Amino acid sequence: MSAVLILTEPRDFHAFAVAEVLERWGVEPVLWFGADFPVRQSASVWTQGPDFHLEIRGPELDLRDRRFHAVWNRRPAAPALPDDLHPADREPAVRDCQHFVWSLWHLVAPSAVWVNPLAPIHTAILKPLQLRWAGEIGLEIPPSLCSNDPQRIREFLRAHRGETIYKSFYQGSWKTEEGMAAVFTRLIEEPDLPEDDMIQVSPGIFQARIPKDHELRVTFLGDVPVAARIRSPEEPRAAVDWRRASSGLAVEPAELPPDVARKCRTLMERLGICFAAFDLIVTPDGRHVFLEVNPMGQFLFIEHRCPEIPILDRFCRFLLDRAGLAPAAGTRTVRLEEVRQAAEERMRAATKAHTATASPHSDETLTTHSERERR
Amino acid sequence: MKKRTLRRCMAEEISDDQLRRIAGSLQTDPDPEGVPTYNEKGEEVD
Repeated sequence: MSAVLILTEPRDFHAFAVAEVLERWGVEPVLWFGADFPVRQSASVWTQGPDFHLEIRGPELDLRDRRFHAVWNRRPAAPALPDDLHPADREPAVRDCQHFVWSLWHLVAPSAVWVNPLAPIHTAILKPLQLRWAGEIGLEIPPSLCSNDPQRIREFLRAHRGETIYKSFYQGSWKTEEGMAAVFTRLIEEPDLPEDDMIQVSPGIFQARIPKDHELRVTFLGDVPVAARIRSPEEPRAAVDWRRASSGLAVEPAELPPDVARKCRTLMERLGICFAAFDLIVTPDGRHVFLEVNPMGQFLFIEHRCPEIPILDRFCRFLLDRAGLAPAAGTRTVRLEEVRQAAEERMRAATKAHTATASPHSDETLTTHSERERR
Repeated sequence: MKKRTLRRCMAEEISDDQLRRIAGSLQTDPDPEGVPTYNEKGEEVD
């Protein structure tokens, strides 16, 4: 039986929806919950003469010399360490765990097709690099400053008075003494700035605000763009950052001009990725302005809000196609609504059986096992 | 008193529930039916 490995975490609905579709198509999905390591998972690699063996065991996971056709590098989760570690032992334990887990990712399925490949991800997510390469390729980008230099930042804000937006490099939320904090893309003015020494320790991205007719979320499945128009200016909460109001957003099918699509493909090729979610602004005069590209972007919200875009089915076919697999001839399009209930049941079971990542809205941070359990 | 970074100055306080709703809305749904909600003690609540 063909098999696909999915690196994920227990609140990742995308993983469960895709797993459900793959199983219906006769492909075995194997979900690897990374934060189960090291408390709930054990792993070993060993040599035996010329042979090399790998074993990873944990709840619902038994990887011993398994062969996978494809790996979906969806949400590779950091290890979660227990609370009862001696504080002085924590940092070296974290380093050991990370080193070993990163090795396991590279060793678990070297002959499989990876979506996206492991190594390029580390550079593909770097926003200053994206901006430079996008500009070199000919995509229009906003006037931008990435900096921790207070003087340069103040000059930039004055030059774009009242029309500068601030983005952090890392969009995740984090735990504070009061609860949780999250940073969204938002307008910034000089009075918002803290003292210079606190600007200096907190570099960020500053961009001239671009007038919007609408925004595009373009999910590239290999060479094929799936474009969705997001009518963010019509929703006040979404005017600067549509993630803030994604539940109330109107989403429609859209077209991407061939020239813009070609430049996006070139950028993906340069970044070394085969799956990407692009965020673009379309200005009132029809220009397409590149904001950023996410190699691990969300996409099911598109079909949820616009069932005319069957992106779950298209993603699953893309994943199999990369691995030289395909559903049986004539297999009809699977809709998100058909698998939603089953996927939610899978997710409900996973939240009980596996260790959660630090936050449902973060990239990866390393917190303790019990902190995750409390959430 | 400890100083606050630019990032912290630009951030906003957000409840776990708000956070979960935003994350859920990007997945598919702001509050998927049938998916449990947990309180701060990790207990499942309605």
